[in-house]
Amino acid sequence: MNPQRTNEAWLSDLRAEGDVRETAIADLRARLQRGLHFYLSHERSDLADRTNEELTQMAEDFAQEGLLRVLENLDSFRGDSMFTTWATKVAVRVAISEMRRARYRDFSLEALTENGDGKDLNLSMINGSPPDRPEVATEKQEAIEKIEHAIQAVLTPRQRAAMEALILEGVPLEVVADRLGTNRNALYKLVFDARRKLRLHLSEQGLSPEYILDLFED
Amino acid sequence: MKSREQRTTELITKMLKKHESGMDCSTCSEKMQCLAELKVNGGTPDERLAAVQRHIECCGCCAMEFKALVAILQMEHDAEGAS
Repeated sequence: MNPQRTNEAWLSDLRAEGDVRETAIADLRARLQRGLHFYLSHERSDLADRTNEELTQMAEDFAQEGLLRVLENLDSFRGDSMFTTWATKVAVRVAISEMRRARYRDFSLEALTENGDGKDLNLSMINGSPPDRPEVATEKQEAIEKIEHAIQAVLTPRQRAAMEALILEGVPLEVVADRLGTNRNALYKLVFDARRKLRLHLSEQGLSPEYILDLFED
Repeated sequence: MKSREQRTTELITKMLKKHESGMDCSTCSEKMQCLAELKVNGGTPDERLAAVQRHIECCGCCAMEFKALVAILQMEHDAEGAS
């Protein structure tokens, strides 16, 4: 094992043939596995009930998957960090993405859009605070109607559901992206643009961010 | 179950309070390892990496991956220092 490889040596060895390549692959796999096992066992409180054998198996699986991803993308390494740091980043993303997808396996955007359609609650019940004075309650009601209209004007129902999932429910981007049939990057851009449009539309309706936050926050 | 009005209010207030970053997740990911190395080595980010930092501060997914990467690098850094 040669843990002191330079970036150039890693790239050269991983692109070589025969024993040189096999040794480099084994070294990189071991390094990724060690790092991932540390992460799973020290940084993930949600895995505290897993045995060491289970964590070791997870680290092995993620390291193997990460290694394949690294080998497929060697050409995208730009040399602006240590090669092993870049490879670790790739493997970390594989591991976290797989765990996110497993955790939200049963999540449904459709279920989200079906929820929250009740109209039977009044605004004083929303935040558990004492009832607003009538003029304040009216002002809030009018603002909410304008906000609803703005959302309908700017967002499709699926975009709204995606934003609710991301912002209200804390569902990870890539899980929502999977459900929408897109990717994490495209969804980030979509939400970024939607937020900008919504802010602009609301401001044009006389609802500045400061006014909305002042009206609805205690 | 929350009413639609309640969800609308929560959505808009949380959205307005959330920081925005013009950088997307792919661009952040391309440079994240540089910021992670800098953090472990105690350096100060330049403007390019400060933009990565801003994205990480407003993107939960990238923040989790960055934190994991830094934790692993720190472990390796400490292990190399001890040997």
